[in-house]
Amino acid sequence: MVARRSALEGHLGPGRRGLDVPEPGVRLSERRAGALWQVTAWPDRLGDAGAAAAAEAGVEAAPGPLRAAFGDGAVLMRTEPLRWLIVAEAEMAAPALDAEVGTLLDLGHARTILQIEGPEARALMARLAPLDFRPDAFPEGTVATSAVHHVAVTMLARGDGFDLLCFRSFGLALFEHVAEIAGQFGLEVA
Amino acid sequence: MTGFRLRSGGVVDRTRPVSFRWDGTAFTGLAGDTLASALLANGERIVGRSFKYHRPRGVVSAGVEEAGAVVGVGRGARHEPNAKATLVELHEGLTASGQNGWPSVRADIAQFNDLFGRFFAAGFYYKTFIGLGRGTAQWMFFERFIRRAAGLGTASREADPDAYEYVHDFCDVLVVGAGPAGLAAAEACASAGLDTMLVEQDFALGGALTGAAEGVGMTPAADWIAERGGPRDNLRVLTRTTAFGLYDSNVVGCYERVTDHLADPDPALPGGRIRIVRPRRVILATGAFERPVAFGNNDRPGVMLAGAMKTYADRFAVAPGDRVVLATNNDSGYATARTLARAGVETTLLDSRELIGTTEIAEEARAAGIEVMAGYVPVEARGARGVTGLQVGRIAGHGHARPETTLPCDAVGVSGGWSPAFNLVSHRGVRPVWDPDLACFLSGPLDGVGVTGSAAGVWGTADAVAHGEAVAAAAVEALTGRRRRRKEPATGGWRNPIAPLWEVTVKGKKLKSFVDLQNDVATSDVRLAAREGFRSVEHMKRYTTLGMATDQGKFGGVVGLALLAGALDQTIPETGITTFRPPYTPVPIGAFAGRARGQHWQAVRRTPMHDAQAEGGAVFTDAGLWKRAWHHPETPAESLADGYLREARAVREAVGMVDVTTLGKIMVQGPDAAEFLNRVYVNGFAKLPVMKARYGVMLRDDGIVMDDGVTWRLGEHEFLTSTTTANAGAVMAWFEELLQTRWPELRVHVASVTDQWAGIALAGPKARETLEGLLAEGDVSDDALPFMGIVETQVKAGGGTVPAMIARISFSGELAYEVWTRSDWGDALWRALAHEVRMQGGAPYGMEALGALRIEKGHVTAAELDGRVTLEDAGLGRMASTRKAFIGNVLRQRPHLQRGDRPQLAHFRPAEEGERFSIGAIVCAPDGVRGHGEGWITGVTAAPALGGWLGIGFVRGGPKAWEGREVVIADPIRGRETRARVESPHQYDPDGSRMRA
Repeated sequence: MVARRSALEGHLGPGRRGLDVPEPGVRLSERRAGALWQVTAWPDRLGDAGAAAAAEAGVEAAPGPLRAAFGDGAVLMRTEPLRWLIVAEAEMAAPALDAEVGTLLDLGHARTILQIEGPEARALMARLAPLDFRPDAFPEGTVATSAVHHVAVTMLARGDGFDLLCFRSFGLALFEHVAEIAGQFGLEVA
Repeated sequence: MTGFRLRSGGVVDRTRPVSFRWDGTAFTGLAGDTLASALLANGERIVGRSFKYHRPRGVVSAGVEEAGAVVGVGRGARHEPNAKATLVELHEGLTASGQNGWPSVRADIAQFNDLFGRFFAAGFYYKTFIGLGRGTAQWMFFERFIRRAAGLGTASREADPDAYEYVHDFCDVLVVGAGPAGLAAAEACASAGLDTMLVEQDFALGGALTGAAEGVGMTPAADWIAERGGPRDNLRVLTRTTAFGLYDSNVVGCYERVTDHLADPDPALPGGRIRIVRPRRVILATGAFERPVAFGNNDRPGVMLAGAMKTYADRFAVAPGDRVVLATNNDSGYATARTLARAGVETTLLDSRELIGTTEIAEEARAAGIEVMAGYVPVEARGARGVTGLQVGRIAGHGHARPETTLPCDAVGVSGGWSPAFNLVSHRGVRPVWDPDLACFLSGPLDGVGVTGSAAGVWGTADAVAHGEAVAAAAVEALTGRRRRRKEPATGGWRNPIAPLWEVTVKGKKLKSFVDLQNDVATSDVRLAAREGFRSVEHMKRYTTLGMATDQGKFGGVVGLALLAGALDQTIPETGITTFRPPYTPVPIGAFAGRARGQHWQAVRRTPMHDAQAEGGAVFTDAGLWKRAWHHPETPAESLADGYLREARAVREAVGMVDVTTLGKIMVQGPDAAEFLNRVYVNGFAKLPVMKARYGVMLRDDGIVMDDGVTWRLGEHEFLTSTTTANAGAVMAWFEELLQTRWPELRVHVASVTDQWAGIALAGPKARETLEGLLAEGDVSDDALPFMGIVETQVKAGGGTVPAMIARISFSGELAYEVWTRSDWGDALWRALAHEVRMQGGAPYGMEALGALRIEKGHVTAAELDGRVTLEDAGLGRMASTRKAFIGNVLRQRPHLQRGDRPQLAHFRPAEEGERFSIGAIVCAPDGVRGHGEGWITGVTAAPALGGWLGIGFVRGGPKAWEGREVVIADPIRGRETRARVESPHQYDPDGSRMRA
């Protein structure tokens, strides 16, 4: 198969930018997912759909609203009341899902994922969306969808940073926007 | 001698001199100075010219209420007009100048305005143009001169070079103001484990305590401040940050100045930040404003608020002069007197309270070497360009004075009492309450907001600290349930009661006494307003301009309304106070724009084929947020007009390709998906076979066309619906609304897959052979892939193969296909297909050629489907099914929508060859170029196959109604009229044989 070309390919410009500080406050990179599968339940089969999604993502149980569960090589995010998103590191065949339980949709090429890390990651997030990103309010595994730069973005607290999932067509614009703001903390693009 | 730097004291850094320029002259200040303190230290007295009268003005305060030292700061694009010198932090290389004076504020030619003061009384704007000289033309003539003479600084015409941004902050408690009460409250909240933010507009913490000789209890002021404002768990301290507005749900708008104080800021830093703070509780420790007293020439440089003199001496080690007369009606003036006396300044204190002379406080003052004159008030300041003396008088009730001697002095300090700064509470519409004992308004109650310190009318430092702790304890209890209530100290705290004094008058003598220095409002203006019937304080404010603009009543608001009350013979509470509006202090307009400027004005959407097209030299245009190729110049010199015709002809004669990724794409899934689409579209979808596509049109509820597009049936329960680029979001939201509110019983899921797929339309007589060159497998012959058929296959791209879906669809009117692949392979697909197209003698085409082709073919787009058009108007009436219900079917049959004389789709051709007309032109009957005419033009092009100029649009009754008659296409804006023929929109290949080839 021909190599995939992401929305940011050729545009990242790796290296240090912005404020000249010994240690960059923010590290910004692209997370290249191998597959994204959206699982949507019929209202009366929510539990079954969640169980199927959890099994495919390799996590113990389907996460509740605004939460994510981390498996080995995949993360399962509850993105909407009836919806989960499986973000797999490697390519992944279509999950098994009974049509009576819900529907399955391939979004593997539909998103750009920006990865924000570093000691100032939360300070940067406070400049992107009107959400409470304090550690107690937005701990690891929290999922939220809000507007960043007027564009719908799903945010996931992960490790000491965040994943930002946006529509692929906005990927480069969002990267440029985030990179400009992050410059004040000393930015490393990887 | 006027102002000078004291030999010791202050919290300025004497080891760090700072050079700056004022009105073109080099001066030196110290690190820690404000521009105002540095000017005072250098003996500069005249730093501004007043708004109307061009009277000389000096520094009158040490804070945001400054009304005299309103200056211009910075150069070029960074020039900021109307800055208050008391807030400008001195930095190396700072450039500032006076305003409203020419050639300078020291020698201002327009100062003769002052001689004509009576013509500039309240309302002179309105009165000037009554009677002789009225009328717009006269006004517009004089306005230029009035605006030039009366005005503030001039804004830079260059773009603001600074970046700004928004920050969203959350906390348990936000404390506004870092004076004694605010620091105490913040410490108490943070130690109780609450996540606390403390914002302070100044660059130093401590408020009135900064540099003060009086500490808190036994602790020196500096230590006490450092202990509370220093690093501490649960506490975030932001200096240079002003809470400018309090909004619903107690959201607080703050503006943080990030680089204003830096000589050479790093470009990576924003100039400022708007911080939108969402706290659970707010504590306002915003302090109080000292009030002036109106007396003759009380605006002369050298006349200041008494408390400001204390601040300059304590914090900046600057004496306002070496002979100072202070005038007070309350105890606070004594602290200033003691500070000045301690600094070696010869100090006389006038106290309007006759009986004060024998009290303890007066005895203490005398013991400190201060001359106390009980029962005396200031009458008139002497000196044209600055105070040289003060005529004083004995008070005789109601502010009347019997003038006596003139005391020589070079500065006069005034204290008429204090007004708590409850502006933020006022933003929420809370009415303040008059406290007659303290002679000031106090804040009314507001849920979730505590007010403390002098903002709550608590005057003493120790009381303010205790009050701050008590208000913090209440916040802790409200948020944690932990009860540790402390008793709030009572308001007030002076040993002797204040004796209200607003204005000093002398029988038989007219004094020029000012209430609002910034807006040049004198006491006579307030009385004039009352005489002319402006009895409401809000009307008086607007008529006189008292407390308008950036002042918002900070300087003379209370004095003005007290005078109005006096003139109307009513009480102050009866008169009331004006509502203060946000922002508390000015915020740069650029800050509200935040990051949304330049290339980040709005988010740009790019297709996966963007880079490949850009490398090929494509010129892009905006389609909503999308960037779409406008045209693909063959050489850099090729014009748009030449290029689009070449591209369109390539499609008609050989083959062309265009990026159609921007079309909205919605996946509709579930057992009821076909039923859902059947209800949404006017035509049937239930029986559409799998792997077939169908064009559909949907209506709004009111029967007007909403959108159109092609839907692909990919499986029994799976449809890929496409929308126009413009309506993608609206249609998606419409589908979700229908499923959630009208038909929740349908088992249908919808999701946007616009970003999952990249698509190319390949069109032209050679489209099939071109496509065959791309195929890695499969068959696209007419049998295998008939019109509106779909195949899934593999195509050669990027040195390998990628999966693709191909449908035989035509928008151009030619044999055409849409080739879709997943987005990350879009780039490879474009490059591979572009190669094949070139091999066939074709070309990529852009939006302009796309438009030309569809206009010629008579296909509608969003330009025609503009929210006014019915199916019949667009020539699509026959599509509507008569065998099923669909949205809009009932209301589209309203008689008015079925009338035959509605504007209908048509082609337009100029009657004379070579003539042209434009989009947006009005179609009129030959004898009727007026009104809305008979129709309108929605698209024009040079017709690639038909030749000549061609327009598409609407005309009443459609082409049939105009057979044998010409129309006039009128373009009133460009002053052009073109005679034209109306023709059928279906002229090019009317039987569709080319599409079905």
